[in-house]
Amino acid sequence: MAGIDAALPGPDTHDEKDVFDVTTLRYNLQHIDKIRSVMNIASGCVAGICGLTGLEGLVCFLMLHLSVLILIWGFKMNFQLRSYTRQSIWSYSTANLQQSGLSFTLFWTLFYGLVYLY
Amino acid sequence: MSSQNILLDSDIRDWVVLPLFIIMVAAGLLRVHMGNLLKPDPKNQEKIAQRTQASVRATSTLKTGAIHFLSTSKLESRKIAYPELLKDQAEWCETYLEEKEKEKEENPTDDDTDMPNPLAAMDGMKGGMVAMVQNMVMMQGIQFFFSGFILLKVPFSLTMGFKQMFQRGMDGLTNLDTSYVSSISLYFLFMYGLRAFFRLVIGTPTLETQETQKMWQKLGKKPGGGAPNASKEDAQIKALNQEADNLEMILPKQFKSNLDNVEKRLLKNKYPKKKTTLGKDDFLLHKTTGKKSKKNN
Repeated sequence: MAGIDAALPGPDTHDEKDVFDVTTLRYNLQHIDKIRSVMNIASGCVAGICGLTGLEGLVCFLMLHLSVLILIWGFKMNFQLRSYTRQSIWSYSTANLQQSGLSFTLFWTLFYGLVYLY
Repeated sequence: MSSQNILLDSDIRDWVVLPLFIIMVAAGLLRVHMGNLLKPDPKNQEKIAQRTQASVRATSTLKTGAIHFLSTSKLESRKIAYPELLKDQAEWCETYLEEKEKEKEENPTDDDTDMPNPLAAMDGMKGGMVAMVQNMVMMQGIQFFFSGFILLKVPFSLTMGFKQMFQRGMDGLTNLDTSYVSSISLYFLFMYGLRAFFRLVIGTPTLETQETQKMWQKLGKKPGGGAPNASKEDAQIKALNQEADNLEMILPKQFKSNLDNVEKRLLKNKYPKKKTTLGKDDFLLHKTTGKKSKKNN
């Protein structure tokens, strides 16, 4: 991912209000979004094929969602959220949670039905 | 609650579930392309808007990564020149505006300031209308064609209250688990769940188009009587001046490029320690002065 901090060790590198490179910030957010969508669909398929129902499925969704976020944070951002997106941890974790949940449910239902009911 | 699942006919899967999936995806794509076709032609921008956008775009490279490809001397000269450039453009825009106002006072023509605004509102509504119409049509069609059988089981349990909504065409089955759903509920599930899917497939529009959309929003949202055009353009000129001030403030005093000493950073240990002295004939940088060659002269 492209870093958005200024490359100079000036006094305004860690200025919270100033983003040095707006286009890379937007690119990073789009990228994270894409990764999340694909992984949510995949985890829906996984949950459906494994035959999880009810609460187990919800737990599976949360675990997989969190692990995807942590992996992005660790491997792509080198554990520095500030340098890559100007988001707080909370908003990073819960961005587009509703849409992810719905698409997870869709593919979960679909694959559960395809495998177990037909 | 029995843990046994009802086994459904595989014909339902072949002829209903998968076609429904294909229909929903196709409908979504259709909606996107219809939206593109129904979009209004882009208007020509006013001269002042053109100037402001172009100058901001040209000078924004200093902030967004010019340190990666320009050397320090070039950066310094641009750092001095760009704020001046922006201020010159702002002055030009102001004089242009004054001249236009003088012209308007001299020949009072019909005011065409009211024309753009109602049309702008209509175009926003058109997109919404397409989506709504399509939703209604699809719901009716699906209810007509795919009614009367169970389609899928949602993997979580629902309360009895949802029974009426999710099991539409099946009045006789009062004891059936609420989890077994009919086609309408699958339609809703698809509608919401495929939004994320469409974002992947179709992709968000490129950043340029997004920015132009934002500009249109800004231009469309300045209606009103009095002097609408003047306020809009004044705001743009102000933005130019602000941008010039921003550049002056934000760029650090020692504006060093990332390319300084890049050879030393790249080669690290292998950077040659001794300076090679070049003789007159050394155009290939080989040392021909010094050691005598063993060739026969």
